[in-house]
Amino acid sequence: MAKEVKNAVETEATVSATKSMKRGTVIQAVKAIAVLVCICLVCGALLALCHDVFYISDDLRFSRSMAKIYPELDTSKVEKRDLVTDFKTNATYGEVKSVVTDGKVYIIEALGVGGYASGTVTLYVVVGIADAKIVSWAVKENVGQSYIDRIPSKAGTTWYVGKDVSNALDLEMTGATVLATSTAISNAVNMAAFYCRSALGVGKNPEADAQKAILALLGDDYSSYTFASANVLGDSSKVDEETTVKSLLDNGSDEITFVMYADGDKGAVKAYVYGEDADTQKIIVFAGDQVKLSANLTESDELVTKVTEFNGKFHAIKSGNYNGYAYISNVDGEGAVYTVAGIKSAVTPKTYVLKVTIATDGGKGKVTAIEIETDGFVPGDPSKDAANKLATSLVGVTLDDIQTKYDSDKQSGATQSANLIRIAVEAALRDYDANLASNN
Amino acid sequence: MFKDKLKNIALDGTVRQNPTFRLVLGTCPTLALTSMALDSLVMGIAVTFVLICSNVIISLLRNIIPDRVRIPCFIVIIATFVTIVCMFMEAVLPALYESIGMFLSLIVVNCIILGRAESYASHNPVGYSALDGLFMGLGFTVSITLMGIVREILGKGSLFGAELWSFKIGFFASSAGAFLTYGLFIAIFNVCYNAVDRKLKHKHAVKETDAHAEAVAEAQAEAAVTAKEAE
Repeated sequence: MAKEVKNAVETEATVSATKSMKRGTVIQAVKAIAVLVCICLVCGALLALCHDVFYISDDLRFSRSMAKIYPELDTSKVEKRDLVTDFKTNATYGEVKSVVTDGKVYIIEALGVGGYASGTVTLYVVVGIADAKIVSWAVKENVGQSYIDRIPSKAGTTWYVGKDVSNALDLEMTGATVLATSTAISNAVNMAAFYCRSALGVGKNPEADAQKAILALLGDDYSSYTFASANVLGDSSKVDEETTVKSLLDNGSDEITFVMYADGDKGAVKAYVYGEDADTQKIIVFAGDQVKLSANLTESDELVTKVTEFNGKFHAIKSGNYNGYAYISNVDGEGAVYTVAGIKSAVTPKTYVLKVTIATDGGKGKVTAIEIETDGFVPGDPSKDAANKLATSLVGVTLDDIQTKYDSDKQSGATQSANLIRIAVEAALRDYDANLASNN
Repeated sequence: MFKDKLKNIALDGTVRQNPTFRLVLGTCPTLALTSMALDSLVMGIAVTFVLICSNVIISLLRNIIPDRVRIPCFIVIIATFVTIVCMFMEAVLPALYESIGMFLSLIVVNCIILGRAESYASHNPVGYSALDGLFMGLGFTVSITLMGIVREILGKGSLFGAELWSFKIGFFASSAGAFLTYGLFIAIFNVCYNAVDRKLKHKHAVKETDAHAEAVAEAQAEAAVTAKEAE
């Protein structure tokens, strides 16, 4: 009995001790957590106070980041400029994302398209306001330009620096093969230059003058037309364009100052502008099946003679992403077989001459046969077969469905051919339908 | 007593337990930031500030912080001071912050700071902890600034950003150069330290022997006097 009582007392004592130990452990744990939480709260309060003391405003932060690009920037006078919607994008060059100025320079954040794998490069381009010259530029970021490191950093201090933004700037690149990335950089710089002359009034602005003149030439029908891709040509592109246009117009020694492309609800417009001075600019505009000449082109001008000769035979046509034009060189006596050339001004201009046979079907022209007379291919070029197939696939099309017959930008190995063939056929159909309408 | 303690703390921080060359702690900023002397100096000052402040606070709270949460508490305290340093640098010295900002944040996990918090500040009074932070920081600052000076002169031909000459050995500005310089500094420092330490120990031993001999002689003389008196 006494033993049992003793055991019971011992068990009770053990339970009590265990309970007490557990309570002690819990109290310790709670105390530990409480201390940690208190320390966190006090530290948080201290940090909040310091945050207020050392607060950096967004404006100051922005000024500092700009000063990194251009150390001479007067950060006390830096202000952001609202973007001018009409000029902030350009189909050829890219887009302007922001503009800041301190009254002496503009720092333009410009994105350039045309990089490797359709990637882009965004630059900060510094342009002097007084002299309209590029002071410096720096890469902000890029998309998909894995070889951008092959462009040495010294490029930032030599390429384009000191160049006047009044003119388009030619591509600069290193010996290493980073053509696409260099192109995107060039486009970004050109985008900044374009924005400077168009929206900021820095440098000459022959494009804006020409745009106004072109719209005036096109008349009321084009009153709401916008030049989405106005484009001052760099020297190398100018040579390509001139080669093409001279082969058509044989326009003598006149040099194209720039070519303008535009895209809108009335189809593609292509304009050749000679001269930079608004008062003396000579302009030839191809819009649909119209050819318009500016007043400065006099009757005695050889260019006028040639253009007048071809009036009605040119068609500026957009096919996929391509802006090209077609020239009808011959229509047979019955008015059913067209000899038509599809022409695209590109780095390597190509010309397709087709014989397109059209018959009337349901009051509209319908292609019944296509024959390629000449093409831009060298003998044995495998793309030639693809191009021939594309031409054949257009048999049976009308003006209404020619643009939907195939996706011309995705014709592997024959992208240019696909567009040129379609441009030529569409020109023939336009002319045929116009004749049908006038005869009726 | 205080003077001895101060001397010990100062010698420990700067020489005997020099964090960079003796304990090989804080290696990350030592290697990464010593290509420019100015960056090294600023980093050293930042570490010293964080060391002093965190040591003081941890020492103040040493009897309150429970043992089981001491490391999280130390980290929170250290991180707070590091963040304050970052904020200050970004606001006042933006150019330097741009240059060493990433490594400033990494001070949070710097072994020197956590090591001193754990081994010294959490066991000692505030004053001594502050002094320990000061001298440890000083030891670190002087070490990495010296390395920075050597690497900048050799690797970039400049000193604190001012160009000295056009001759430069690019290797010393590289990561491999940082390792080599660090290794050389550790070797030189330890050779010098050991030589001085041996000398001091020898001196001390000689002193002790002399004192011992003197004491023995005195005792013998005393014994002789006592014996004489007894006779």
